[in-house]
Amino acid sequence: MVALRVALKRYGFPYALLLPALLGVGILTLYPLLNTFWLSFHRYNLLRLGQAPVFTGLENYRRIFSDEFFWFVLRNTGLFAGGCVLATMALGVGVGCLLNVPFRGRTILGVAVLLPWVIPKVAAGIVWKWIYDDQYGILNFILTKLGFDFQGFSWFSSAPIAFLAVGVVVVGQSFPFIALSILAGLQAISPEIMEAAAGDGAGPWQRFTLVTLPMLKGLLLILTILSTVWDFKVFDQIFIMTEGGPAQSTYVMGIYAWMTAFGEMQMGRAAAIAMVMFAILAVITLIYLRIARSGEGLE
Amino acid sequence: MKKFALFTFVLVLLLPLLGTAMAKTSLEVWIMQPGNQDVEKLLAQAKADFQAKNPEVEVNLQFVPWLSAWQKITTAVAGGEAPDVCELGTTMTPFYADMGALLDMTKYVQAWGYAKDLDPGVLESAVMDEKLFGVPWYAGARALVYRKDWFAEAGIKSPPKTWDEFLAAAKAIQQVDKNGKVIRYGFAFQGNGRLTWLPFIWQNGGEIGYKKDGKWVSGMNSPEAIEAIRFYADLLLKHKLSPEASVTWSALNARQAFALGTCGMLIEGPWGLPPIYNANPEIASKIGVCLLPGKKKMATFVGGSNLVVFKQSRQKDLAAEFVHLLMGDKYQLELAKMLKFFPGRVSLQDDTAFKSDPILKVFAEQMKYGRSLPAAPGWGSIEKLDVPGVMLQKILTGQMSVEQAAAWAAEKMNDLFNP
Repeated sequence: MVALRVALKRYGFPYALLLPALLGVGILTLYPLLNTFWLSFHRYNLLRLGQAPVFTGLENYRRIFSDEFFWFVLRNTGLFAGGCVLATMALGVGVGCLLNVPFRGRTILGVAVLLPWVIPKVAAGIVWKWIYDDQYGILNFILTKLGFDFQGFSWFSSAPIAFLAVGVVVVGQSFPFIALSILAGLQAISPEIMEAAAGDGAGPWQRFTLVTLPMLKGLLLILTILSTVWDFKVFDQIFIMTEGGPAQSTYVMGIYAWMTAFGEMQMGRAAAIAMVMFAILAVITLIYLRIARSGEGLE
Repeated sequence: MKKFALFTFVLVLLLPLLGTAMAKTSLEVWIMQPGNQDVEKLLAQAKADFQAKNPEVEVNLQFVPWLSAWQKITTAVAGGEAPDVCELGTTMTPFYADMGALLDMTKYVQAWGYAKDLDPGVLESAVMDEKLFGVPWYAGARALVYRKDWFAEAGIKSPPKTWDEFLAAAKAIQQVDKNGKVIRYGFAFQGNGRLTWLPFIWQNGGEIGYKKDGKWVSGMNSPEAIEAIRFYADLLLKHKLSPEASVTWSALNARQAFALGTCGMLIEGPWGLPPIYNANPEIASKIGVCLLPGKKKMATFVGGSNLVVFKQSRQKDLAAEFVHLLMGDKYQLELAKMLKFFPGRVSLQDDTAFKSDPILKVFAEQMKYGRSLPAAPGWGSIEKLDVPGVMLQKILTGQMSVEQAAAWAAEKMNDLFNP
């Protein structure tokens, strides 16, 4: 009895402290995940509220994988997310480094960069939809004033241009976080190291590629994983700006899952799509981590 | 002392129960958010009228936003908390009727003497298996709105009556400047406005969907439908009678283009005219309205609402009586004037207020050719996925031929029609 009390005192306390967090994760993440997993093996139509989900085994998955449209959407998502991640990381690192250099107006730049990040995605989507509007959008107006003929130009009538237009908004809203994190990382690198490198004759470019980047490697990896996850499940801006159109050509996985769930009312099939997204992201994350570990071994 | 405290406590707990027992009968009435203060006042007045006539009743009037209506009503029905009286859009009515949630109103409507007086277009959405699950409350139909001044300049004597005349008129008013740039387009095309162009299928004698052996079937790939879809798509694809961007235009964009003087013809309902006048007051005197052109017949889509009573209601007669009040002459006419829709009762559509206005007169005439979209439980899904719109855009962006796209849409619709 005494031993138990001692043990509780010794080991129980940390778990007691963890409990609220575990409960939160359990309720908000684990339960929905397991429920989605379960639902993905069932047929459950929202239009038939009275009927309980019917077990159909792998039918939902078979149907998705045999649907050409799924592969089209998957390719769309991969290309769009890949492009957005590259642009986000490049811009984020660039701006982060810029902010680390002392110059006049740095604070203003910092605030200006952060602003798009604080604007809710839906609000940004709506504002940009106006900016891009073919009839009264300010973008076409400015471009036309500058001497290019953009009068009545449609930014959402073809998939590549629509993806470009949406991508600008997505990247614009996600790179500030990267920039800020990079800035924090840069400030953690002690000036002595840079001085030592400079003393050994390394120029600015060499200092950046051979000292700064390797020291930020862990951070860069985490940021890349995060933005891959975010951009792979992008939903808000596309839903607001193109709704997946024209002719479903700007569908991404998030829109596809949503439309299957709340358009077609097929909750089971939508759950299966969500599980496929989950699996893909899990694999990508594992690969990133593997790369990181093998890199460490080389050093 | 302790006992006294306990007694008081129990009494306090019981008081609300006592209150409930003595309270008035409550009648739940859910109306779609009109976004119009006059309409809200009118309904509050109806509530007061009803309570004056039935002093034992407390009407609980609620406004439900259109966007969350499906969700809110479905949840309420599933939880056994459905309202007594409710307004349902024409595409929502079949869904709840099919679910078995709505009361058959036939006997009430007959008693009121309205059985032959209800707008046929909206009625189509409320009838299932020869039972009447809703009473058409208000209705509106789109006609062809055009620029009188442009027509006069182009020497067009009378507005188009047929598809051929319509196409010719659009070509005639289209103008190009000396650099070959279009300065006036013939027509405001809507790539995202299925309600404006689906009637072309009806006009050509086709069907969007029909019931066959108890199952709903898509009519999209019938020869009549394919011909209609091709005619409409070609307005943009072949004849370039509207800006390229109209591939993704919705009703709002098309309205804007017409108001700005970019396009000379528009398929629009009477409710769309005030926003156009607001955007460009000068245009008001230059607008003419005529019936949508026909091919084999005349047709337009009729939008509007039904008033329904839910089966879960514990006071069905009282609920029906409230519907009766809203269907009476006074409220029907007042509401119609405020909403710029027409009364659900046909006899009131001939009211002088509509007859004396040269523009409203045409819209009232157009209502006679009104039809509803398929009263199928799965139509809601077809609308949310916008299968007709996706089909049209697949043609416009060159992904598919008209035949391929129509076959694609038919397959998708057949899948969604019967969930």
